Amino acid sequence: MTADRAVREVGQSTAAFTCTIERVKLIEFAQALHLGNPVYSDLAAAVEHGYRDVVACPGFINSLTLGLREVKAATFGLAGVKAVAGEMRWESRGVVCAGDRLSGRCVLARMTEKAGRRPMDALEFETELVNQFGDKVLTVTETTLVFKD
Amino acid sequence: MAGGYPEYLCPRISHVDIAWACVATSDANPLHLDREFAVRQRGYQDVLVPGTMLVGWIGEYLAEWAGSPERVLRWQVRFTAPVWPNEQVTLRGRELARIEDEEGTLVSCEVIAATAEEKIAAHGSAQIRIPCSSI
Repeated sequence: MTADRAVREVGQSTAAFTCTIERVKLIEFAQALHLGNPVYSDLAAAVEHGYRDVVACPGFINSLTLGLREVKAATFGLAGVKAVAGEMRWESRGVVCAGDRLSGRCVLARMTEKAGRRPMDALEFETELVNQFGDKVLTVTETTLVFKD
Repeated sequence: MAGGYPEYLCPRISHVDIAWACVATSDANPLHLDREFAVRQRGYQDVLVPGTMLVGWIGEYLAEWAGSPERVLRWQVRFTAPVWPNEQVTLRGRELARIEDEEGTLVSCEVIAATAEEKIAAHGSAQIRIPCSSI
């Protein structure tokens, strides 16, 4: 077992974090993808549709946009390892808008070994997010496949 | 539409679009941004379209199907093959099951992201809520 693998343990988590969703980032993303619905990029359209601000497109909230990449790498021994994204999952209980403050911590929920031509560890990270109103608004689950060779 | 949802042709994505998406998501991975690195050091034909872009399209597709973003309740995406800049990706949705309750209809569905050569780039599955009035 390598030193990196040795630091990982199911149940282990990052420190608690809080992140504010920036309107400009939502607009940049919607424009890069040429999303047609204006609630993702136009404040006036979003308000007209009853939202408090520009809406985060489903899937926009993830480890990257929450600023967790370095924190996860340091916590779970992922710095410098060969890894690919396997699967992403969202359980949504409400909409996320620009200006929302999301708080949570990222937990290593499951860890399995995958045999095959290139053996891998499948690491499943779960991040439950609470907004500024105290609502459990979203759970993001991401699988990272870490090559053993 | 019973049994499915109209397919959606994703826009062909340029290197500039990829750069903007990476800025928006704070993704500095050179596999998405540095063609020289992707081709010479990793052996790919070009930079890779970030998975977050496929996720964004699938997310919007599900939101359009459901009628609004907050009706996309549970969903997941599994990446199965790389997508290259300017490649045409089509999303195809298929209804798998539906449950009627007092709040409307809960639809279980799947979404496939396929290229023109029928390469499956991503596979999504979801539960979305469709209001009674839109059935």
